[in-house]
This record gives sequence, structure tokens and C-alpha cells, in this order.
Amino acid sequence: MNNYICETCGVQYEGSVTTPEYCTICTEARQYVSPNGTSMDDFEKNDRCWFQKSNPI
Amino acid sequence: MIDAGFKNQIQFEEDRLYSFKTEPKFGIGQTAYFIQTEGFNIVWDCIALIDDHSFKEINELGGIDAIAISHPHYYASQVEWAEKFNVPVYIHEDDKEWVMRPSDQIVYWSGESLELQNEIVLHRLGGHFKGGSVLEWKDGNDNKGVLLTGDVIQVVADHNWVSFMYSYPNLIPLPASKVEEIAQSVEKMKFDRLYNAFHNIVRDDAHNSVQKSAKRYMEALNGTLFNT
Ligand SMILES: [Zn+2]
Repeated sequence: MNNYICETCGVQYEGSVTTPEYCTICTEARQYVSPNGTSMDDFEKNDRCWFQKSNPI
Repeated sequence: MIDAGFKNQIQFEEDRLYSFKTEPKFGIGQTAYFIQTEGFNIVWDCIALIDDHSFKEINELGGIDAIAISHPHYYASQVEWAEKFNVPVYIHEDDKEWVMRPSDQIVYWSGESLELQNEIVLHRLGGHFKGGSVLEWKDGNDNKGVLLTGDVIQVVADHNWVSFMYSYPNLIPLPASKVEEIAQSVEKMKFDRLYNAFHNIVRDDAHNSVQKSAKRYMEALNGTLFNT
């Protein structure tokens, strides 16, 4: 279990085994999803998990 | 985050007020504040990281009795902070749906204001978020008062002016009627200085800045400010 943190807006999620694939706060008109995709971070470690990352051409 | 080299920096702002943020910039670059009052220390707004060094430093400043948050973009790691210091987090109940990490440490308050201590009062203003709130610190700034606003009231590029938006990154304004309502509520509060959530400050005459900014905003929306 991990309390993942959205790298774009900084909000922390309730504990989950799998990384949340999107951020509820960012996918709303008052925030934004990073053009690079959603990235969730861990408090202690540096294990970033990327989702919806656009494919560089 | 810690392994990636992120660290919290605590900075003295004025008598009994400190700011802290994470370096290098994380999230939207949130700044939170720490206020020392008579027997009651409070953290206003929150950031994503808490590291050993900032935990220790805040304890050396007298520790925390409560955390209060302006709106969901500052929820950050509020529960992590609350558990670490074993204190309640005050959130307006109108924004409950945006809490991503529920916890028993969270106290949902309701209505238009909540006095946490005789010099610290939370006021719901709405606008940016329905439960969007500000903190009135009546005795701060040599007893002239301080208003901490998150970005429910936003300090703009010219630090003598503020603004009010539904969405700042996507530039969606608020209705003139809502801005007028906010200005009327703020009129009754005691402050001469205003701190926003990104470490921008209206140093002096902030009470007047809010009123004149609300007036300009309404004139702009109503089409009487300029003719372009
Ligand atoms: Zn997010």
C-alpha cells in the first residue's frame, strides 16, 4: 500500500496497491493534466509512475 | 520525493509568521504558513512533502495545534501532516467531495465563519471553490491584522492589486455578483497585509487593495472599465 502523490498538483491519495491512473483534481476545469501525462510520486522513494504519456514522434 | 532530492525550506516572514515550501518546485509550487499565537499554533494550507528537517524545525517553533486549508489545491499531503503532528485539519464541508485521502483527523466545518482562537478566524468566501476560505489573523502585523487567502483571493503581478477567478490556469472568471459578495464579506475583516498561497504579498493597505480590485474587476466584466 502506498499513498501516491500527483506530481502536477501535489495532492496525496488514500493508500492503494496500484498507482492511480489519473488525478481527480487535475482532470477538472480548475486544474490541468500535464501535457506530458499524469505522473504519480511516492513520499520516500523516487519511483515515478507515468500514465497517458504522449508518444514522442 | 525525498530520494529525488526534494526538501522543505522554512522562511521567517514577520513576527510570529513563517512560510514553508518544497524546493525544487513541486506540484503547483504551493506555499504554506505557520502562525504562532498565544497557546495556539496553526498551519495554514499544506504542501506535498514533510521531511524530518521541517518536522523538527516546526517542533522547535512550538509545534502545531491545528491545520486549516483554504481549498482543495492545498489539500496536498494534509493527512500525512495531521497524523505526524497528531492534530485536526479544518476543511469546509462544501468541498468534501475533493478530499482524496479521507481521515478521522479531518474536521469538516460549516457555515460562514469559524473562530479557532480569539485572534484566528476562518471565513468561507466561495468563488474559486464553494468552500473556499481565508484566514483572518487579527493580531498579526503589529495588530493591524493579516489575511491569508490561498488563491481564493489571488495577489496578481502588480502586488498592490488582487483578483478572483474560478480557474487560474484555464483563465475562467467569476461572475461580477460573486466578486461583489466576496468584497462585502472581506470589508468586515481586520487586516492591512495579505499573503497568497504562492508567496506573493500585498504588504500595506491590503484592505483597500481588495476593495479597489473588486471594483475594477466588476467594471471590466460590466464593460465600463475600458473600450477596446
Ligand atoms: Zn493532480
